[in-house]
Amino acid sequence: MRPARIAPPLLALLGVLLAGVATSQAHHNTEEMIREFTEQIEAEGDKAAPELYYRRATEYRVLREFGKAEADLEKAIAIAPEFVAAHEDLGRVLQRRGDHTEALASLGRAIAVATTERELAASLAVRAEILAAAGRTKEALADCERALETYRRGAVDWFLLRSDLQQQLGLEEERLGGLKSGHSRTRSVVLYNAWVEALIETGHYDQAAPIIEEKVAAARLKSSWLLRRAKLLQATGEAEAAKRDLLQAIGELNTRIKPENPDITVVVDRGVAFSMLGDRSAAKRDLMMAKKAGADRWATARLERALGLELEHN
Amino acid sequence: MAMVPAEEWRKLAPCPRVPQPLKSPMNNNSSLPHLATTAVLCILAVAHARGEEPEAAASIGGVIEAEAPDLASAVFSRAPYLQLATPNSIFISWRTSREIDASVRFGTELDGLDQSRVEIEIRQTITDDAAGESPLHSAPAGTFQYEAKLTGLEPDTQYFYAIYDGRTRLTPADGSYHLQTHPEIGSDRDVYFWAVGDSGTGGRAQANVHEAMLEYNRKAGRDLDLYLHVGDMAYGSGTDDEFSGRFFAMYEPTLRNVPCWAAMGNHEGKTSSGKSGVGPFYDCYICPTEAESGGLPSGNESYYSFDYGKVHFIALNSHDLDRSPAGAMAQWLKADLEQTQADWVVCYFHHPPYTKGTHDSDREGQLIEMREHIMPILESGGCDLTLTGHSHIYERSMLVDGAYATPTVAEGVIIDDGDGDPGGDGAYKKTSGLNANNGSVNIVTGHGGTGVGRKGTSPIMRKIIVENGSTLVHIQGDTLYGTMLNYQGEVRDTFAIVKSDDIPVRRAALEEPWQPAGKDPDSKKPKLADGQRMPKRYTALLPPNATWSYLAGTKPEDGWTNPGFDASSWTTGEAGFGYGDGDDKTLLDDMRNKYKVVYIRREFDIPEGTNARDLGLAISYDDAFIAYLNGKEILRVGVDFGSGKSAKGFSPHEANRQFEFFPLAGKQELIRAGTNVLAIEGHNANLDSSDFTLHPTVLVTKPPKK
Repeated sequence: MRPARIAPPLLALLGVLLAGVATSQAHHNTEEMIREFTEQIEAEGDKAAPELYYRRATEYRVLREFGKAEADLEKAIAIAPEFVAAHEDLGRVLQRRGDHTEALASLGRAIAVATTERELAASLAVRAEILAAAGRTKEALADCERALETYRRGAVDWFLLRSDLQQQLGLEEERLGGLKSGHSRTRSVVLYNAWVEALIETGHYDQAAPIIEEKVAAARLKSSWLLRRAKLLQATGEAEAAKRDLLQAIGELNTRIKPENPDITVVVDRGVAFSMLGDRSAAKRDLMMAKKAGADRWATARLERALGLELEHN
Repeated sequence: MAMVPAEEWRKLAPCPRVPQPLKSPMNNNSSLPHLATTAVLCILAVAHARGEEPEAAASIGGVIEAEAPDLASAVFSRAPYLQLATPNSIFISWRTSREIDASVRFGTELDGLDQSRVEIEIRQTITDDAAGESPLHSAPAGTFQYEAKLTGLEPDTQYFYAIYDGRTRLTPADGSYHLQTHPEIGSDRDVYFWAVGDSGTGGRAQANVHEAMLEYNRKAGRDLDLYLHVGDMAYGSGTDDEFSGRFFAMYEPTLRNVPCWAAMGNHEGKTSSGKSGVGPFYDCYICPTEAESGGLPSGNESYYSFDYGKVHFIALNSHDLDRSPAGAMAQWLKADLEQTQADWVVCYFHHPPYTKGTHDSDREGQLIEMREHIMPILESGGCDLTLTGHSHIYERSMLVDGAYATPTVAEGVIIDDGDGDPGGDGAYKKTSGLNANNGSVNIVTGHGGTGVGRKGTSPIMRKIIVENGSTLVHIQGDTLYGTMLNYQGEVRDTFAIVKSDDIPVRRAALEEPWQPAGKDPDSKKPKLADGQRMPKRYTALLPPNATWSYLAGTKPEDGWTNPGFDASSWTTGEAGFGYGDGDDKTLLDDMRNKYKVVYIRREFDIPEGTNARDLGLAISYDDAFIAYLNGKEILRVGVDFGSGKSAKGFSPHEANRQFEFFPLAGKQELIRAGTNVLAIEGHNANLDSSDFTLHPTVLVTKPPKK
C-alpha cells in the first residue's frame, strides 16, 4: 500500500517546475488555460520556460489537438533537451499518429536523459508499448522486463503487458511466474485472474480448479468465471460440462448486452463463448459488434485470439 | 415518470441515526506555517502498540488533560483525520513538526477511553538512502506523520478517541473527536454521504459550502457517514502545502469524524502520479488496495472500491491511467462489478462523462474516454449513480442509459425524463438489486469552492445550476435520495431513485424526451424550455408588438404588479424589449454590463365567458422571466427563486425569434371580468450577456378546425 523510497523524486521536481509556472489557481476551462499559457509565452518571448510549452501541449492533448501538442513538445525539448516528460509525451503523440519510428526515437531520448529509476522505468514501459504495437515483441518484452526490474512499484498495466508479450512468444512458464510475482507485489485482482488463466493454459488444472469453483460460487455475475471453467473443462476433455457452462455464460451475457449501445467487454466475452462452442459465425458477429461499438484491437484481442485471427497491426 | 406519494416519501427521507454532538465546527487554526521541502532526516517506519490504560495512568496522576482545543492546534501541523474505515478498524492520521510519543486511546463512552489496540506507523519525509520503506515524498522537512490503525472495533459503533504525546492528551475531551466504524458488509444500514468536487481554493466560497453542509446537517439532526471528494481538492498543483491549507485545515471539523474517500483530480495530478502512487495525494490518503473494506483488490491507491452496508462505492482514476477497456483499471472495474453483492453501486471520479459547464465532454479526451470506455462497463454492471467534478457547475441528469456517443445526444438514451423529484414528477424507478442497463443518474458536482461557469447545455441534464454547493446523498433500503445544497444552505435540487420488483429491467428509451433549453453552441435546432409549441388556432388578446409600460435599470416601487398601481412615470414602448439579437422593437442598448432585469406591465381585457383553460401566455424570451396576473405570480421560467434584483438561479435560454406557449389553465380565480393587469420581470442570466429579449403576448386558443 505504501510506495517504496526512491531516489530524488522526479515528480516532486516536476511538480516544483510546473508549480512555478504561473497559472490560475483553479483554471476555468481548457481553452482558458491555453490562452493563459499563450499570453505568457508571448510575453516572455525567447525566455519562455519550457514548462510553459509542456503545459500548453498537455492542454492541447486534452482537446485532441495533437499537431499543436507535438509542436509545443518539440519546442519544450529544444529549450530543455533533458526534459524527460516532454520526450515521453512526444513519443506518445507520435505513436498516436502512427509514426512508430519517430515515437521510438523520442522514447530513446527520454531513456537516455532519465535520471531517476522511476523516470527510466516509465519511459521503458512506454517504449515497450510502442514496440509491441509495432510487432517487435522480443524488444518490447526486454524493455518491459527492464522497467519492472528498475522500479519495483511498476504499474499493474506493465505486468499485464509483459504477460501478453510472453504469451505471444510462447513463454508460458515465464508468464505464469511473472503474473504470480506481479500479484504478490501489487495484490491486483486483475493479475490474479490473469494468473488463473495462465494456470489453465499451462496445464496446471488441479491448481486452477478449486480457485475457479470458489469464484463461480461467489460471483454475482458469473460469466467471466464460467468462461474460465469452460476453458479448463475443455482442456480436460469434459466437453459436455464445458458446453453447459458456456451456454449459461451466454445466457447471462445476453442480459448485459444492449445491442444498440453495448459494453464491448461483455460482447467480447460472449464472442469468446461462441467461439469455444464452435459457433464461429456468432463469434465473428460479436467481433463485428464490438468493433462497431468502437473496440480497438487491444479490446478485441482475446476474441481474435480465440478465433485464431491475426492481430491487425497498425 | 414515477411518483412516490408524499406520505411514503416522508418515511423514506429521515436518517435514523442518533446524531452526536459536534463541537467547534469551524476551528480552522490547526494549520501551522509550512516549511520548505529540503533535506530531511530519514526515519524508520515504526509500528507499535500502546498498552497503557488511560484510567490507570490517570489514577497515578500522570495524564495531563488538554485544557483547551488550542493545545491540539499548537502540536498538530495537520490535525487528526480519519481514513480507510472498515467494520472492524479505522486509521487516524495526523502530523506534527516534532517527534512525539504517540498513542491513541478510544472507547464507546466519552469518559471511558479504555481501549488502545493501535498500530502506529510513523512516516517522515524522504531524503536519503536510509529513509525507510514508506517515506513521505513531499512533506515539509521535519514532518512526522502518524498513521494509527485502530483494530478490534465493533461494526457500526461510535467510538470517542484521544491522541496522546506520552501522558499528555493532545486532543480535547470535549466529545468532538469521535468516529463511527462501518456496518457489516451486506447489512441493512442506511448511508448518508457528502460529495464535493473542485473545492480546494482555501477561499470563502469553499468555506461557505462546507459551513452550509454542517449547518444543514445540524438542523436536520444528521451525521455524515462518509465524505467523497471527486478531485481537485488542493489548487493549484496539489502540493503538500496546498493540501494542508486548502483541504485539511478547511475541512478539519469534518475530517476528524468522517473518513474522506478521495478520487484524484487533474490538479493533484500535477504533483502526484496514479501509476506509481507517489506524490502529496498519496502521502495524504490511505486508500484500500487489497479490498480492506470490501470490493476486489485493485493494487493501486488511485482506484479502489469499498462497501458500506448494501452500497458498493467505486473510486476511479480518470486522470492519468489507461482508460481503455483493455487497461488494468477497466479490467478491475468489470471484475469488481461482477463480484459485488450490493444493492446499490455509486461510482465517483474526476472527469465527467457528461458536462457543458466549464468543460465540454464532447471535446476533451479524458471526458470522452470516460464516457465511451468506462460508462458502458459501469452500466452493464448495474451502476446507479456517478458523481464527478472537473467542470465547475452542478449538472444532474435524468435517468439515462447507453449515452456513450460523441457528441452526447438525448435521443435513445433517456429512460425517464422527469425531474426525479418525489414532490414533482416523482422519483426515478429502477428494478430491485443491481441490473444491467437499468438506468443511471449522473451528477457533476464540481462546484465545491471555485468559480462556476457554463459553456452550454448537455442534452441529458435535468438540473443545471451555476452556483457553488455540494451534493448530499442518503441511501436507505430501496431508495436513494439526492440533494444539492448551495453555499447558502438552500436546497436547490432534489431527486430520488426508488427500486422495486415491479419495474422491468429493460425499458425502452423515450422517443422524444424532454430536453433542457439553453445556450448550446453546438445546437443546430432551437429547443423549447418549459413552454409548449404555439397553438395552431388562437385569438390574440394582447398581440405581438403591443405597447407596454416598462422600467429598465432601476427598481420598481412595491406593488408594481398590482392592478391600480400608478405606472405613469414609467416609459412606454413596443414589445419586444431587449438588445443584441436584432429581434427587439424597443432597444435597451444601455442594458449590457449595467443591469440584468427589466420590468413591464400593461392592462388588457379578457372577454366575458373566457375560460382560463383556453388562456395562455405566448412569449419570446432570453433568458428568463416571472409573470404576474393581477398581482399574483402565475409563471416562473428560468428563475429558481427570488424576484427582482434578488432573483437567483438562472437558466440561460435563447429566444431564437420563437414564441413559446404557456397555458394558464388553473388560474381561473385570478382572472377578473373586464380589465386585467399582466406584469412581467425579464431577467438576463449574466450581466455581460450578448443579448436579451422579452416579448410577451396573451392568447385564447381555439379548438382545431373539423
